[in-house]
Parts: sequence; structure tokens; C-alpha cells
Amino acid sequence: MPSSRALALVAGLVALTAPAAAAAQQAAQGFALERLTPAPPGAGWFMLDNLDMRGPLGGALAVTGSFAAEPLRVGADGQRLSVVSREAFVEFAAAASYGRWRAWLALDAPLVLAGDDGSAGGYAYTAPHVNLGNRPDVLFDPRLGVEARLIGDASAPFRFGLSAELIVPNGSRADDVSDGTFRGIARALAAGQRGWLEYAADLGTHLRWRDQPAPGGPRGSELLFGIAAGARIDPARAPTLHVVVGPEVFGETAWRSAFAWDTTGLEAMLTGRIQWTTPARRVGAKLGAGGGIDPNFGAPAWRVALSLDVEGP
Amino acid sequence: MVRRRAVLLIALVFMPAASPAWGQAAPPAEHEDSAFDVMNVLARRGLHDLGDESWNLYGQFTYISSWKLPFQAPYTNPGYSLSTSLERSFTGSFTLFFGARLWRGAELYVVPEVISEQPLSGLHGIGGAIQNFELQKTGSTTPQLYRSRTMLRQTIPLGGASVSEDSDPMQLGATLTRRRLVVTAGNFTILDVFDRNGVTGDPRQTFLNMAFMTYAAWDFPSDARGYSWGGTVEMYWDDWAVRYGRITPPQHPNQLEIDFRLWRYYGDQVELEHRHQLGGAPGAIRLLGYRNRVESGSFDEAVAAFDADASRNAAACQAANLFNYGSTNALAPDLCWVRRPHIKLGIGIDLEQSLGAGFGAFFRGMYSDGRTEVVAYNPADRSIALGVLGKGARWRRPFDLVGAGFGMSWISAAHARYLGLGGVDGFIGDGAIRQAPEGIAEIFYSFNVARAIWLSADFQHLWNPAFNADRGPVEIVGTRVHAEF
Repeated sequence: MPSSRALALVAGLVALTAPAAAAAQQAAQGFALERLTPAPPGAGWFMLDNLDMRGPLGGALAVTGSFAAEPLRVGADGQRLSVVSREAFVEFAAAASYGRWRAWLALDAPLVLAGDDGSAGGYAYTAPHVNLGNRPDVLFDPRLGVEARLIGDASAPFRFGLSAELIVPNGSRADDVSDGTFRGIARALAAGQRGWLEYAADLGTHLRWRDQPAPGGPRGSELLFGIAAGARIDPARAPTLHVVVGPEVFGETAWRSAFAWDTTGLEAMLTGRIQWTTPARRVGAKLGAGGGIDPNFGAPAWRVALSLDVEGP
Repeated sequence: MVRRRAVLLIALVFMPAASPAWGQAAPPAEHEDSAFDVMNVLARRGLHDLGDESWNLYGQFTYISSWKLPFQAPYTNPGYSLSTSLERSFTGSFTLFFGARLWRGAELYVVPEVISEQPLSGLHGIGGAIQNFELQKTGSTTPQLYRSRTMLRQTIPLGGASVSEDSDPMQLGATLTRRRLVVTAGNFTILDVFDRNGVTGDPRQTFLNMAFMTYAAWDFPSDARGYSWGGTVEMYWDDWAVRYGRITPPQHPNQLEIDFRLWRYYGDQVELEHRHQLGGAPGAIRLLGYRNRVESGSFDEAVAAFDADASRNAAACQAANLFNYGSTNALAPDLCWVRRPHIKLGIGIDLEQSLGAGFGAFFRGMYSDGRTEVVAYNPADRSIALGVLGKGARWRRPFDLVGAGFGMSWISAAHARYLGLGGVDGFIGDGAIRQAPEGIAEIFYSFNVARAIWLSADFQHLWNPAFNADRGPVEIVGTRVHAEF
């Protein structure tokens, strides 16, 4: 009898404390998860910018698609939770260039965001459930940008410029597509070509007000960095074609604890692009594949991306 | 008094239409060459070739405000009827139209849009004559950015004389042949391809009422904003054109979510068009047929289900986890109990004719079977609309527009029986009904303030709202600011 009483007491205590433990868990809020912010249409690389704006007024349109696996995993080894296990989006971007200037608008539409609900680090996570059927026309966080080349001409071995982007909140935080606040990006850009080598680099800051202590979440403004280098191939039999193949490495770290493992994401992609130039227009296609070197903070386990763009007067 | 003034205004508008015919059909749905827009400005400075475009970019802004005056009604079904009190509705839309030529004959269009809106009575209580065509079923007063269109169009020349396509929103300037095949695929509104009546043109410039945008009884499948996914094929052969399109329906009637199983649920549209000259003035005649296969409810089946088992009422839908429009009337039938794949059929005719002097006239009429509920457009089962529009060249205001129109729509006997028992559909359900055709008369004048900005005044008189002779009539005054760039 005493043992059954003790059992009842233990059961009662468990029953009383279990809801309290559950209630202690905070709900982790959604945020703008995607880290691949493609370069403006006509800017050459996937992420980086070749600063080769030139000539009279021109327009460019680009369509970029990306699929990322496990861009948001939280928890310690053995208890990993894939809050977002797969994410795909398509970006439509338009740019106008004039002389050394370029302005662009990028609009991103989610195709798939899905993962697992669960708990980690004292937070309860709810995975997004987004597909084209239930979000047929959403555009998330449009980006409006402008850039200028300050040093060098369009084909100089060293070119330097500055860019600024305004990110307007649109879309649902629950879908992990928006912070729900305005954001900004400012970058210093460098690019050039020397013989067969093309390169680009950037360094900038992502002005971000969302600071969420939940694991995997944004921790305020971030330092952005990136570098790319590639071999340029000009097929002798096809003078209107040229191909560039090389790696692009890019990442971000929260200023609040720069380069800490859980506030830094680093991603690398091997990219190849082919451009076909006619007197009337330049048409390009890009393919990239890679993944997170330091797969945290939004850098996925792996990613593939494809882009098509067209430029003309 | 108001009626007398309306008749006088309509008469004034129709009088010049009887004058000798010359010139083109009115009004311009396209941008005038002399308009102040980005592409024209660039072309004038030698920076852009409008005749052979690789890309273009246009934009528009439209703000419409409508006031519904108080009216009389012996009964009102709150949440489903048009409120009898004074109400204001508005929409504000901002659109960018991007176009690019990808390869020979291939055009890509991407159209983002921001919209903010407040409908009358939660967009309930009016059938085929909703006072503002811009209203969407998912709108809110908070501006929402969305992608209205993403589509690829491939044109394959088949010979014949050359024709110039002017640079316009969603049209790259190019030279085409009069015989050609045009294939469109992606995300668009079916009205981008079908029922392109040149007189009613772009409703952002012309009538405000939805009855004049296209056939009120054409229940073309779309999401709650009016856009669909799918593909169309058009064959142009001199003065003839034939079109076919298959597009996606929503997952549930009148909702935003799309069902992509085009092999299972779809809307098929076929249109035959002939362009003609009548006394030297251009015109066109179109025949359109549609066949939807969608998950929808039959009015007769909903009533029969309720008659057979009163527990299959509107109030019990949500407990059974069935989609309905929120009705909690335990004494009314509901479509939620009988939704299954249904075929819906309709056939219509569309006429447009230039009357000269910048004036044009139009007529549309459609008959749908009326057996099943509205899935995407509006509840009318049969409709006609006619009217006249003209430019102000005669009074030295060539960019002004004036128009007068009249429309009428009906519902089927089965639809009326269902509504009379207290049932509701996506838009209407007064709890009772004295069945009558819903009528609309509208007049407007658009004053061209500057080359790219119009200010409009609009008056609408609506009879028998929601096809119910017990309610109304309703008078709605409106204003519009429209800018293009």
C-alpha cells in the first residue's frame, strides 16, 4: 500500500511538473532564413558582382532558382532538429544599367519550405509548411539595390565599387521568409580580370534589427564577406561565347559575437557560367552547386542553383 | 431626380456615338505613343528602340474610392448581405510590368503588384455587379505585395503580312506576321489572353464595375485574386483567331490555394474571334465556351441532402471539418456536404465595334448552366453587358474618357432555391430571396489631369443586389486616380 501511495505521489508530481516544463519552453519565431542573395542581373557571378556595367542605358532580367538542404538545423549532436530540411525559391530580378551605374529590383518567391517541428535548446520550433499550392503568389522581402563602379572601367584588371540594398519586409515570419522588419545591406565591391583569371570580392554589413537568442536565429547586424575566382575560357570556334568556371565562397557572422561557431555561416559553391553575346543582347546561364563549409546560421548542408539572364539595350 | 439625371447623362454620352464613323476603336487600353512613360521617354532620347524591344518596363498606380449610399431592405443577413448603411470601399494598386525577350519569339513577363483594399460589407451582398473590379477576395487594408503574373510567351510565325505590335505593358514592341501561333504558359489571368475586348480595354482606365470587365457569368478558374496557372495556345490567321487554354482551379472555391492537378481539375476555355470592318470602322466578334471540372457543390444536391437529413446543415460543416463560408445557420442547407467533382459549362458572345470619332460600343452575353456554385469569379449564372466608351477629342480633350454601360445578370432556379432556404455561396445569401435579375447602370468621366494621370468620377445604380428584389436599389458614387509610367 505504501508503495502504491508513493507511486501515486510520484505520478502526481510528474503530472504537475510536466506541463510546467512544457510551458517553460519559448516558441522560436521565424525569420528571413535564405542566405543566397543573388547578384544583380548582368553582374556575372552567382553571389558576387563583376562590376562590368558599361555603355548606354541597358536592361537585364534574371531568373534564379535554388534548392537548399537543411538550411536550419538546431540542437547538439545526436539531437539535431531539422526545422527547415528543404528550401527552394525562385528569384525574378530586373536591372537597369547606365554607364558605371546599376539599379535593380529582386523579387523572391518561395517554392518549398518544409521541415520538422520539435524542441531544442529550451525552444519549441514550428517548421514552415510552404509550397506553391498554398502560397501561389507570395513574394518575400523584395530587395531594391543600387551600385556604382568608382575605380576602373568595365574591363579593367581592378575595379572597385559600392552597393546598397534596401530589403522591404513582405511575407510571413511563420514561413521563415521574412524578419518582418526593414533591412539593409551595404557592400564594398572589388572585381577584375587578368588574362584568363576573373575574380571578385566583397565586404559589407547586413543591417538587421531582429535579434533572437533561439539557436539558429539571427543575432542582429552581420558582417558579410565573399570571394570568387574563375578561369575564363573563350572557345576559338565560337567567338560569341565565353565560359567562366570557378568557386564562390561567401558567408556572414553576427557582429555581436563575430566568428563564433553558432553565429557564423560559411558557404562555398562551384559555379560555371556561359554567356552568349550578340549585337542585340547578351544571354547567360549559370549553374552552381555546393554547401556549407561551416553549415550553421543559415548555411545549408548542400545547395544547387541555376540562373538564366538576358541583357539588352 | 437622380434617376432622371442618370438617364440624361446616358443620353448625352450615346448621342455622339451616332455620328459618322471614322478612326479607331476606343478607348486605348495601351499606352499612347505620346504618353509620358519610361519607355517612350527613353525612345525619344534615342536610348531605346520601341519597335524591336529586348526588354521593357511599365508601371501603373490606381486608387479607387467608392461610397455606397444608405438603402432600404426589409431584412439583412449579417455577414452575407450588403449592409444597408453608408459604407466606403477603396482599393489602391501599384504594378510593375517587366518584359524581356529571351530568344527569337520568346517573351518573359513578370508582374509584381501591391494592393490594399477594403470592400463593401466584406465583399458580400452583390452578385454579378461588384462595384470595383480591383477588389480581391483575400485583400486587406495593409498593402500586400504579390506576384500577379510570371509567364512565358512563344510566338511562331506562320506567314502572311507583317503587323506591328506596339510596346505596352506585357507586350514587347516587335514586328509579327498576321498568321502565327502563340503559346503562353505560366501564371497569368485568363483575361490576359481571352476576351480581349478593345472597347472596354483596361478597366483601370474605363468602367469600375466588375460587370463590364468580362462576362459576369464566366466562372473562369483562378485563385482568390483572379490569377491562374496553366497554358494557352492561340492561332492567328489573318482576321481570324482561335484560342484554347487550360488553367488551374483553387483547392477550395474562392480561396487562394491552387490545385495543380491539371489532369484532374481544370478549366478549359475555347474562343473563336473574327475581326472585321463595318463601314470602314474596325470591330470584332468573339464566341467563348468554357468547361470547368472542379470540386464544387451542386445547389440541388445541397438542398436534397438537407431535406433528407437536417443535420447536414450549414452550422454543422465546420464540426465535420468541411470547407464552408462560415455560415452557422442550422436551418439552412450548405454546399459543404455535397462538394465533389462537377462539370460546369458556359457559352458567351462578345462584340466590339468602333463608332468613329474615338467612340466604340460593346456587348457581352453569357449563359452558364447554373447547377453548381461559383468557384472563382462571381455568382451570376447568366449575364449581359453593353455600353459605349469614347475619347474626348470632340471637346478638345483627346486623353479624356467617357463611358456609359448597362448590365444585367441572373441566377438559375436551383441557385435561387438554395439561397431562399438560407444557403450562402462565396458572395451572397440574404437568408431569403425574391428572385430577380441584378442590374447595373454605370457612367463615368475620366479627366486627363496630365499626360499620365487621370482623375475619374463614377456613378453606379444597382438594382436587386444579390438577385433579390426585396433589397435595394443601391447607389454608389466613386472616384479614381490612375497614373501610368
